[in-house]
Amino acid sequence: MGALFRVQWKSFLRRFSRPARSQKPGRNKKPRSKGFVLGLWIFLALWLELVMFIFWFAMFPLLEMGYDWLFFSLAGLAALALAVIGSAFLTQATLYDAKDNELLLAMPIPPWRILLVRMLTLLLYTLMFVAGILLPACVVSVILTGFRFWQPAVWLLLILALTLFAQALCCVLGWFLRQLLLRLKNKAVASLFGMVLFFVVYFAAYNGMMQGIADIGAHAEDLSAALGSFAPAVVIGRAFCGDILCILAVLLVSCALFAAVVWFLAKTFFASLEPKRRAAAAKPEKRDERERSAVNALARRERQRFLRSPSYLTNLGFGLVLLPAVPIAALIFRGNILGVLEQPEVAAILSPYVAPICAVLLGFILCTTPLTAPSVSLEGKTLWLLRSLPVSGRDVIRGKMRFHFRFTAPLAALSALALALILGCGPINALLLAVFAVSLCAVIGYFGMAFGLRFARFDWTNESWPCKQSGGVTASILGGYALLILLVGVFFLLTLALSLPAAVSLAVCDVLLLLLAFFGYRLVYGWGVGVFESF
Amino acid sequence: MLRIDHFTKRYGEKTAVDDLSLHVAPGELCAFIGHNGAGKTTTLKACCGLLQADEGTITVGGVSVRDDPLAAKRMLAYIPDNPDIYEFLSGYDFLNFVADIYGIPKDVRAERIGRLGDQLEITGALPSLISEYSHGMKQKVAVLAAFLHEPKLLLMDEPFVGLDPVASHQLKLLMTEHCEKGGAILYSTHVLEVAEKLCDRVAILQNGRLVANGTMDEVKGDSSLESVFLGLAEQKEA
Repeated sequence: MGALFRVQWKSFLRRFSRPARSQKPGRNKKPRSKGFVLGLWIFLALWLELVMFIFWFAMFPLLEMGYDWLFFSLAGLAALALAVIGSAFLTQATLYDAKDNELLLAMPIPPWRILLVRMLTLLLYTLMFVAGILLPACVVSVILTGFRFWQPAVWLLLILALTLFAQALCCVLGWFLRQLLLRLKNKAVASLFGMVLFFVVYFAAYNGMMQGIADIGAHAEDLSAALGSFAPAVVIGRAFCGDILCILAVLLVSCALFAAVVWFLAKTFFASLEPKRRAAAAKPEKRDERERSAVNALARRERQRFLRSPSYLTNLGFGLVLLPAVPIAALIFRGNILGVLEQPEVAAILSPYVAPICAVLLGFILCTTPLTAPSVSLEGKTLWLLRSLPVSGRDVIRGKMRFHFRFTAPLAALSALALALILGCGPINALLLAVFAVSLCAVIGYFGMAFGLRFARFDWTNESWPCKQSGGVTASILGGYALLILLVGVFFLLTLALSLPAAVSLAVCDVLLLLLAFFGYRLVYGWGVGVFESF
Repeated sequence: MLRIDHFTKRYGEKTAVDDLSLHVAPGELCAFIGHNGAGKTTTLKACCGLLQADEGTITVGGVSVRDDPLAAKRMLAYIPDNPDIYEFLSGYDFLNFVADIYGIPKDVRAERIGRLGDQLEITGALPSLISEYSHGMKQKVAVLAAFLHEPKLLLMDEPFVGLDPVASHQLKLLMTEHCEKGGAILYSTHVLEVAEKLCDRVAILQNGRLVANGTMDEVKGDSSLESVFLGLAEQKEA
């Protein structure tokens, strides 16, 4: 068990340490920076803490009205919900898709030990979500209601217990997901569809909750009555308020549930790994013997990998579903949106800013689609093929970039034009919006590739690592958001401080993005090619 | 066809291959043998540009692998010891991908995939995803892909591992035909009986150094290749 844990722990830590090394003599012999990826995760955690602190502070009327338990019920339920959303897909991939499962199961190690050791790293991930929600709630409670000596120890125990509880729920969901995937023909598309459905339900629930919270003081009694009839919520809330019986109940139920889930998964582990060949066998493909150039063949290969990898498609393809969804939603609610925009007092302020607001909305979606970021690491053990075939590093990168552009740029341009048309932005704004979307695609593609090359690792054991947790993907998405915030700042500086028309400010942002895309192009086809050829 | 001159490769302090010189002429089938860790895979990888030489030169058809790797790679094919190929593609997709990279015309690739697929008994499985293949089936697809562009030089790292007896036999036939047409093959193996029957040349590597090199008759004389190899191993231990 200790040896197994050490191996898994090393594998976990290596994710934050040195990326792939060059095989060329005399180059890159010393380990590269270890802290950057860890730093990004710490930044994310701190950001979550700040957001949640503000959120819980807005709920102060509950504490003032004496509804302490309700405050903590909401915090506990939110923590469980976020942890399950954040970890369920990762749990499935980590437990069942790990490439060393067969190796370990062939050794005299009981399956429950393998599962338990795999879960230790998952528990850390889940703890990040649970603590991320609950710690700020605890701090807000101390600020508003005072400190009691028992609170740190009890709250720590409860956070750990709820982490176990959330992980148990993730395991159950992961098990169901596994059973479903074993029986599906196109796992990747089905996973994406499931994720979209999941988020639709989540946002509907979130929207309902936010409406209730908007005036929490007025809704406190209704909320108390609603959650008061839901025993687990009451128990969690009262446990955080120091009720001994409830504390014991949370600890006992969480530990028992976690143990029961591990026992059940261990019993079904072998069967869950066995491929249901008859059910899952993909339909034989129609032969496609069209001739293609080397770069097109490489781009096609990237497309096939993307469409057939559940991890790749769900983690980086979600934005591609949202891109057409935005103009469709705008079309459905066109009457309502235009009704608001045409009110004289709103129109006077907002009408010049409709196109820039659309640009920010599309931009936030596009930032989640750096398709190039994991593509280098995804070569994994098949990297030898590219290196033994007569293709240059430049061609390989061109293939990856072409795949990115073909998937993102047309969708982004069409969404931008459709949105502008539906909201009546006018031809100039429509054009500026489309240029913004397409040039942002280019920036995200080039910098995603650059980050992917910088943090490339080929020794992953399941695809969810390069697609979800790698430094390349994290840096690309966060970098994209930072860029967007910067552009919003530039826009307001030009519009408000220099009194430029909104369309001119948007055009300036377009030019900045095009310049950045050009810089990205030079970076990737200069430095990037050299890095790829050194692997 | 393949000229390796004074090739040296080091991994940190360890010298994996030390001053190796080996020539394989067109039409020659050369067995590359040695104990585990002798440097066979390192040499084969360096020949196809997967590793860079620390010292020495390697040329394929007169083209330096270091100076013009793409031109050299167009003349060769490499089959690694473990067939890690794209599991998200079907067998046909993978072969078409390789054909596209080498610029093989549509009708030519269809004929070759059909003929070689039938010969290796893999045609029926080609429409399925490679992720559903067994190890041996992946090896067959890797072999098929290597022969697809009719390379002048074939570099094979233990190519018979995982193949069933029929496929092994067919691969031997393919290798012999390839050399009869003027192609060259350098392949590593631990199955000395097969090497003895199949090859015209043999090179024996020990701790990164070439300890025997020549035609099969020159190296083994009247004894067997196995006894020569074991004799060399005993000399080393002594």
